Amino acid sequence: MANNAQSSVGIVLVSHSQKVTEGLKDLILEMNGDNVNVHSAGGTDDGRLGTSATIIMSKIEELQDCENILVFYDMGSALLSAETAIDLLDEDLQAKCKIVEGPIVEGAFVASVQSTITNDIDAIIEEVSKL
Amino acid sequence: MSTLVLDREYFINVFRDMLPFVDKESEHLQQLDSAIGDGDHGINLTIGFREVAKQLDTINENAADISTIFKKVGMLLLGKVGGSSGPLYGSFFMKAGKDVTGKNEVTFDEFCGMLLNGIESIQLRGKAELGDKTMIDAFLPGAEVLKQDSPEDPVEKFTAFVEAMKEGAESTIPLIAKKGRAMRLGERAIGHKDPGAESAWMMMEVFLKRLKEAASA
Repeated sequence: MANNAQSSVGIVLVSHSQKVTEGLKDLILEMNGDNVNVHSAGGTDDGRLGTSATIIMSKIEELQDCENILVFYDMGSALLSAETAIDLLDEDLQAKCKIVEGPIVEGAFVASVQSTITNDIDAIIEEVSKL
Repeated sequence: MSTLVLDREYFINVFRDMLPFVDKESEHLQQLDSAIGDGDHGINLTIGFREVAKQLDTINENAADISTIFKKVGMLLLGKVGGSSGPLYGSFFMKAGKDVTGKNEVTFDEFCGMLLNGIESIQLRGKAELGDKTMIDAFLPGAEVLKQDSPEDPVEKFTAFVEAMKEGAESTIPLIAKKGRAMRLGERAIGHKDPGAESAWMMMEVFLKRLKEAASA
């Protein structure tokens, strides 16, 4: 990897709106630089409002080199789609994934900042849970 | 034990019928969903099954067995449908295919088992209980019929299955919702039928129509 401070944590953002996850990804990159691994998985695969388990699945697969992958979601069916996506993955990759309870914007932001200072995934989730 | 056997053409025909069916019912489902949901149930299903219709010939040419056909259809719904019904119906069809690997025809009893697997996956995925005002209120009474030994005649049994689901959908009208957007409406959801429960029994009726043909052939 180009940057030796590259985090081993991956973050996947799931919202009904692609604009929400794209905007949040921009925000996270702006605040952390390129050494965080964050993917936007909002909207359906034809860009409508909604969620798509197949998009979420492919975004997680792009992060397969990470040791841990945190999935943040906005509401309702975003959780159903995220769970379905994880079910479809290979077991090794499944084991790396955690769906995190918490507000998607603040939660993913806090997790991304934490991921630049620690690889301790429980500590990162603990920080999010304080929100 | 019934002797009726359903071949892959039966299932391909059913999946082909889904688009005209959802097209026809789209507005009805839309109206139900506008009352308590986000109003997109009809259009979401139409978009999902339009993609299925588009790819069905290719799927049929390349799929080794009925199991693969179901998995492919399920995957398309997961990607396209967008709302909760995407992962729910997507999981339903994918899991319905799991026990029929290598088969290009199934007995009626095996078909009932496929549907029960599908229903189980919806329960696991959505974590809804009976009375939560969801499609589970249609599927669970239906599952009870599928599990019974009688009626022996497949068409009679499947008709009873669809009827039980239809009654289940009706039973959601006086309920307060415990899942989804409607949950936020509290008592305002009372008096409206759950759109997912409605589309669930109607979709199973598409299977029934082709089943009647298959049984009389």
